[in-house]
Amino acid sequence: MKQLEVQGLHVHYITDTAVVKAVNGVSFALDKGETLGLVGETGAGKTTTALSILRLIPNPPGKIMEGEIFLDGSPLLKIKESEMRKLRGNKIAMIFQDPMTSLNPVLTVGDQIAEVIKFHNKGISLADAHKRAAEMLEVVGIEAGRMGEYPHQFSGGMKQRVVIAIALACNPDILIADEPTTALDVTIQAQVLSLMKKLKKERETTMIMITHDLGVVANICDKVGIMYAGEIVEYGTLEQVYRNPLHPYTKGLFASIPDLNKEVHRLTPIKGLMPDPSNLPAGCAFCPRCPVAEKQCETQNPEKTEAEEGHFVACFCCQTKGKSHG
Amino acid sequence: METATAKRNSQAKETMRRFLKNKAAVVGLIIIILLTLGAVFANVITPYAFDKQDLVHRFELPSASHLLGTDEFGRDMLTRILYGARISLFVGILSVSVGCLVGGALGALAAYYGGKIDNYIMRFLDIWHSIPSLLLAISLASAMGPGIGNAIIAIGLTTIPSYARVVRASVMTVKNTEYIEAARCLGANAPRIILRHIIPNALAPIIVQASLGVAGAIITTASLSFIGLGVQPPTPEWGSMLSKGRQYIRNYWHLVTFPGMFIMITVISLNLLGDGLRDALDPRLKR
Repeated sequence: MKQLEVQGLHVHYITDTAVVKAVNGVSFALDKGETLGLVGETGAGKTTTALSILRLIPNPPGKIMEGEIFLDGSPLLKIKESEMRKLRGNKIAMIFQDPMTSLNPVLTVGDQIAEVIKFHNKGISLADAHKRAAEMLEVVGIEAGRMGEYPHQFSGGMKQRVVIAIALACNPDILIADEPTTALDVTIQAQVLSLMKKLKKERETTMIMITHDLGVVANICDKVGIMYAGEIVEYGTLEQVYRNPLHPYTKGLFASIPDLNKEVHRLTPIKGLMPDPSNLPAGCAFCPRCPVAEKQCETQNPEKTEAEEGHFVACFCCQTKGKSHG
Repeated sequence: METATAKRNSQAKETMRRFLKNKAAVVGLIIIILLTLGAVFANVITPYAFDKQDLVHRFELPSASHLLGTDEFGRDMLTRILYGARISLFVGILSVSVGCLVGGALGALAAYYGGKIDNYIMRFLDIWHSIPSLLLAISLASAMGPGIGNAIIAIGLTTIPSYARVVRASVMTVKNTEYIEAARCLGANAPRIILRHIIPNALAPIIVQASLGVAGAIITTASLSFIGLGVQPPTPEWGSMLSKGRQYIRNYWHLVTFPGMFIMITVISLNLLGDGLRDALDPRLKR
């Protein structure tokens, strides 16, 4: 049994004027200890997918239209809200993009770490919760003596460490990291990433890493899902996707990374913009920007095809090679 | 918790520093402190009792033995004013607490849940607010009967909508911040998010509104007492002293001047204090 399984997830944001189709049929499954990198442009539905797993899509306007999410085999979308609250922070934790705004400015960092420990360990004494909070701070490399300080007394990288400490305080099975390094500068990024890598390995945490940095994915992930307009267009192990990108969008992403060994005057971006998610094209969403688009791409949306074992691509260009897969 | 409390003050310290820079606000604070001390230690400060009649020394002008003179029954004016400060500050603070708690709770619920609940609560309070507050206080006080407890409730009830609005506005800003979403991700339930995460961050405008509200409540108490619906004699209250002294205003100016002056000074000081707090707590004015 997989630890986390997402099947055919559809999430729409319904407003008065339009229906924004943020996530359109996302499926993936993770074993214990695996790390999935979800890569895509802004607005590709990465964060929405993550929030659906926590069942924290702002409703209204957001709504999970169809799909199933299983945690250790139990269906997350069917349990009661009070049950769900027990899972959040305890079994599934999330790290937010911006540490500057994801810590409460009026509570000390010690209180904030202790709070989640108190939530999920009923009957733990205040002193014990604070002791464990202090241990967590040490784990992420901050002196326990700084427990009583407020978030504004920490630098950005330190704050992100605090956020990680909060997320890991209850030893969650699944950690969702939503662009955890985007708001940090490059040297701090490296530190935070290696810290996350180390902790994840020690604790065998299953992780979903949301990012648009292919370098971060290469550094930390086992599996990669490339998202485009609410769909995973290519999915496979790190090796498969990086060595042998098959979807034209993935190829485009790799082509747009500057190569240190070649001298070029201009980068090669993917032309055009992502389609308006409230007005998706009838066929393949990538078709208007695709260099190898054909007639059928305009009218039909390609199904996911298994190009090699465990490597799925949603493009007609691969369907001749592999067998069709729902 | 030891370490936590030791360094807890840094934000408070910063606010304090900005507050102390504002001279007018500091003067207001000092006056309020003096007045509070005077009210608390009234029985120690003056040798007279507030209800001791001394018919030989009626209508005396200010002198060394009676600093602010005596009233129509020969009672010492300063003594009565100090005891009156007890009533005024007590009623002011309690009625603001009533308004703040009820209004704050309604405003926070409206803002947190939004949608229909927000609409029902706020539209009801809009209707509530459309009735002139003094008129409402007068009708509530006369319906429930005169007396200090009823005055507090009446004044508190009339101020509910303004607190609800202030709290709603600031809760709405705080509720959409990422750390609230983060708290939800950690499994916090709604009461906890509101009480521990939202309210402390939304407190600044509430404090300001409350300190200004005490001034308003003191005036309303005085008005209620003036027309006989507030505090009943012989308990001294600034408004009722004004009302009594009014009959003798042509011959004995001090009977109305001093209670009036104290009302004015208190209200101005509270307003200066409130303005100072607002400036000190507003992060946009940080220097």
